[in-house]
Amino acid sequence: MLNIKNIHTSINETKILNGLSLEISPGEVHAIMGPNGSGKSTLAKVLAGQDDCEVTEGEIQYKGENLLDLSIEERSREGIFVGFQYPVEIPGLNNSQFLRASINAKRKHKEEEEMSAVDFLKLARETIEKLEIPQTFLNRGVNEGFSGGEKKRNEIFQMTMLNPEIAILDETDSGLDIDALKIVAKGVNEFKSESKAIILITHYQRLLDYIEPDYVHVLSNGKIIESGDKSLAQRLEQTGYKDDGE
Amino acid sequence: MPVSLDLNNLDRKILNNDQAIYPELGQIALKKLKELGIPDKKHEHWRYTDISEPIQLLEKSLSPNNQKSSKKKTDRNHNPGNIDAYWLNISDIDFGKNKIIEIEGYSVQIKCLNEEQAIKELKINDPLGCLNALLTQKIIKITIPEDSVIEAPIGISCVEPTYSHKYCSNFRFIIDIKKNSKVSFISFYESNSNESHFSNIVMQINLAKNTETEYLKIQNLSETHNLIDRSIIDLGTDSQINYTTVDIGSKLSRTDVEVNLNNEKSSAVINGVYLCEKNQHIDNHIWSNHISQSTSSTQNFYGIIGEKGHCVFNGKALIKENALETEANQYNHNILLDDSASVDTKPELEIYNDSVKCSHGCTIGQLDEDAIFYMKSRGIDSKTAKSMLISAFVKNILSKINIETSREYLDELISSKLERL
Ligand SMILES: Nc1ncnc2c1ncn2[C@@H]1O[C@H](COP(=O)(O)OP(=O)(O)OP(=O)(O)O)[C@@H](O)[C@H]1O
Ligand SMILES: [Mg+2]
Repeated sequence: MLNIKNIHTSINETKILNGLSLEISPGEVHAIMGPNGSGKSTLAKVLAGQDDCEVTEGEIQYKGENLLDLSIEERSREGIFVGFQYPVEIPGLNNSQFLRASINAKRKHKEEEEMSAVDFLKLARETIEKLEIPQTFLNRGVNEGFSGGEKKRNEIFQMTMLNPEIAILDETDSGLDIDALKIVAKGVNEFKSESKAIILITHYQRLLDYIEPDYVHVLSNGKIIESGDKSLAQRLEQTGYKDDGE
Repeated sequence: MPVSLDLNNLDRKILNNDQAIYPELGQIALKKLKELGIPDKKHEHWRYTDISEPIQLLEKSLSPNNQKSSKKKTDRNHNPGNIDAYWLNISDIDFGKNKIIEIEGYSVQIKCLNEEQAIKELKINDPLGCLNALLTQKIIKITIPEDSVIEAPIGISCVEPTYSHKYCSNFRFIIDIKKNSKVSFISFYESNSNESHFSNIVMQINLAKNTETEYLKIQNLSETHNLIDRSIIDLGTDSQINYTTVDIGSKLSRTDVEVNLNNEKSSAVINGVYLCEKNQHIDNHIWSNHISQSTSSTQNFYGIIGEKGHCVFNGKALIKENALETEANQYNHNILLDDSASVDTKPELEIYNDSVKCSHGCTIGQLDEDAIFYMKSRGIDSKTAKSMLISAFVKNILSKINIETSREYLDELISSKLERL
């Protein structure tokens, strides 16, 4: 589904990713761990298509196509969702207006009929209830004045509404209290299916207690230096990354 | 370009002419105008706005073959933007005549003032206002009787240059709201020709004790039209006004709002939105004069400026010795969409006592690139993302307009303008 082959990226001429490779198939959950500054968020941004992360070498295949040829918005419409580590606040732009525009952009791309305001509201209300998010989220500005944890929950809300094929969640667990963590995990587990893939970027084993990964990778200095199953995460929790170059 | 208008010739050209409508008033205005002079860039209030084209158009309108009023009258049922309102048909009302219209059971009087009445009622304190009084074709007074609570807005539509001179029109409206009344107005400017034109309009709005007024101005003139629109608002005890100007069209649009908080517990909110592009020039000058105590004023202007657009905001609050416990706020926020866009903004305070609460600020920025990226990452294309951000920005002002029936029209007007920006 997603095949990242030996990518190198630089931001303002500083090398960040250094020959990173990763292959992901439908139905799989991959966890990516690694020290601060190792390039985890950069990977997420490269997948989302942020302009300032220039890919200087390597390639990324998504559903058999060259991902790097797709614009940011095409990637989203084609089923890529990145839950950001630091979601942006957009004061004054109504959350539900934003989400509806987003859903309809995707529908239009797929040559489907637009979702009506009524259907949208129905779906949004159901989703919000399931994720135990306050109803008021819908009418607030996008992330406007949201607490750190609320922003993360809003990302999961967007993910659920957009129903992508692959979700890359960058530290969606940071800043969540234990109840919110369970809710987010529940949302992700419900999303999980045979046909979907998930990349979880996290620093903490505790998320992986709720969402069981098939693979755990350690990212350091811009490349994956070790891969294993969930026991790798448990080992890292005890020993840290010190052997791995931090 | 220097502004030239030979004042010495004006009395011969306009006033000693059997077609002069208000000859005596004209003499008073001309005398005042000679004292003040035609403003140019050396005048503090006209530093950023060049009025040589409006003045040229005015001069052109004075040539003998343009003196006759066009016989074209507005469509009786003209209903700008399909906004639900009691649209007044100004062309219907002849000099010295008056007319009562029943609105929701209240008798609203509409009168075209004669010379004697006009001399008594007119406020003439600035050069453009003098020119307006000197050249005015019609002075219309609208009186809202005491204790009227009128739900539907009253609409004043100026379709330029339908019932005016060619090149230049000079109208003056006096809105008199008697005590304990609540009412709303829409003034609407649009063009029906692409010929160059200058509209020089004065609105005098008097609010008596314990009144509440909602006032919305929508300016959607063609790109060859110039508008200088001056509102003089006098507030009675316990009265309040919520004034909003929405500037979309025109080549040059200058809005002056002079708010006189003459009486205790009066308050004024003066808001504005401007969307400016391609060589347009939009200028807002707002003066809040706090004369009496426990008065409050807020000025809040949000602007979007596109390619080669130029905007000006000058907001001033003057707080006199006796205006104790006064609150005054002034804000101006601008988003520049292009390197060639520019704005001159200046909120000012002049305070002569210690018991005031004031705040002011202005910002000039670009659309938030991070927000655009975030929206794109959710499938929204760049153009839509930008226009959603702009809509959200101007909504800060539009959401404060309390005229429900204008909402749909304004949304459409703004989104069609955004298409072009
Ligand atoms: N715009 C930028 N300009 C310069 N350096 C940048 C820029 N963005 C990221 N970097 C650098 O790239 C490196 C990788 O950053 P990245 O955010 O991917 O790390 P991370 O693994 O997500 O870290 P964390 O665990 O702290 O979230 C860091 O050293 C960071 O300072
Ligand atoms: Mg990170």
